[in-house]
Amino acid sequence: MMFDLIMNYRFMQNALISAILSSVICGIIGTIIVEKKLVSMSGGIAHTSFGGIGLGYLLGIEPLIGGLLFALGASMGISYIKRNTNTNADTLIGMFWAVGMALGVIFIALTPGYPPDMTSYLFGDILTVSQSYVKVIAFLAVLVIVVIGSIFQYWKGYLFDDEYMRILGINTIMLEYLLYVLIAFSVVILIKVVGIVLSIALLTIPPAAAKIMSNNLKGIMSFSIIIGCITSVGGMFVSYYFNIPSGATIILLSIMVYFILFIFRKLIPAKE
Amino acid sequence: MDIIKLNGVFVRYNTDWVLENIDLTIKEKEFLSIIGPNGGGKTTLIRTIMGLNEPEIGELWVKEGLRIGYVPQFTRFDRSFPINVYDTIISGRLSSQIKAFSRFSTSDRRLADETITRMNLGRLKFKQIGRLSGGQLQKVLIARALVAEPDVLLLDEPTANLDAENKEEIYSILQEYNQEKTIVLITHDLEYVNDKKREIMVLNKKVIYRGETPQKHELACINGDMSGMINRSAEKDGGNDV
Repeated sequence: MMFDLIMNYRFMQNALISAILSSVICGIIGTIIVEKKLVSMSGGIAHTSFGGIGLGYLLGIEPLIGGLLFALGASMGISYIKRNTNTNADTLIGMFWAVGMALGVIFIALTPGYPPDMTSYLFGDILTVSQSYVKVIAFLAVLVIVVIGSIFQYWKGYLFDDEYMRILGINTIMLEYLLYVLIAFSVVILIKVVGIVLSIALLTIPPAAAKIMSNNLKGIMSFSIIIGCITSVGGMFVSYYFNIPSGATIILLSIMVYFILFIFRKLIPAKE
Repeated sequence: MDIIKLNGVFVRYNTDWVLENIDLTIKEKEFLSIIGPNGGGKTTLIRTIMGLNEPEIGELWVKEGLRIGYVPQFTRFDRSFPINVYDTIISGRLSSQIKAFSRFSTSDRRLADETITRMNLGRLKFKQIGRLSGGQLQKVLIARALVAEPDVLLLDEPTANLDAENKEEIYSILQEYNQEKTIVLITHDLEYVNDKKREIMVLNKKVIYRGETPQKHELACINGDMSGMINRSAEKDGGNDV
């Protein structure tokens, strides 16, 4: 029956492919976010993008392009201001977060005509993903695999001890900006899938669950991709059959997997 | 031969001066211990030598081509990070030029293995750093610095929070490497500094003292807490030196 659904409905094919591709992106970028402790930073980027989505509506351009520009601005801005002033990152993230949301609300209020429904941006809807959007996700997935995979040893060194990498003469500022750009792209891409509010969950729950099963960076990324695939594809079907919101279903399934693995590991401890 | 020189160096964080008018010369194969109260600028001094802090005033000169190895305090690490001993050590061989799809060479891996053997870390090679004791992690961080074949090794309190046995092991490793390398060490182990009649520098924003383990008459110029610390430590050793 699942097979029939996929074979017969184009929107189901798009949803399935985007679920798998976003799991790849989340598995890799999410692991980095969790290990580098950039969870609140990523939440800040996601919420700042709401301002860009509002601006997109106001100017009559694709809202996600506006969202992406705001997300990139937030990631670069937080990094730059943190480096060049004594404001701490936590405070900056809070400010960007709130300003982004506030701008979004104002831009949408200023948009002429009937106000657009923002629910799909806030909470996502994987079943409405278009074919051209699937191509964008595919491009980003390939980009993430190449950028992270081609200099994996450097990323590992940077995540573990960026100061030491700096002492070795490695351009860690470039690595940091590159990482923040990838986070901004990933967060915006995920808006269609699970929405602004829940995107951070999809980036953090699978890696957290994967870390229960593996203790090396590549292993965590791989498990995280598998867990992401299971929960997002599973969530997609559950939401279709029960007619409930897909983003929230995917997140709740991820949390279930986390707890199942947590209990499993308590009962059967990992070998030394 | 001089390899590092600081002339009248001032460094500050925001509005506070952390180092004031530092004159310091470090020679090849020297073993310099830096002692001083917390907040006295010891870490800032070695960060300045590595180029991580810029002098506001004054000059830093480092011999051309000098390779500097750094061993940070192990307590500042997130021990839950998923990396094992071997990967941590070989990361010291990463080249400063990032090249896509490059891998560690055979000589990188050979050097990592040799350092692991020399530091007696063989049986821990594939252990996660989160499962190491403080002393073991400290040795791993020293190995990561040594694998890059530095000329100078800068260490920031490598024996803090370690028991006597581990301290002894770390110091004997440093002693051995001092045959071929310059060692600059921040430490609070005054017993050790006194024992070995080492070259020491007492730093409290300014250079309070520089020379061999201080004698009684020299201590007159070392004020505040440091004087007390050195006195007590020296008395434990028989008291003749102070």
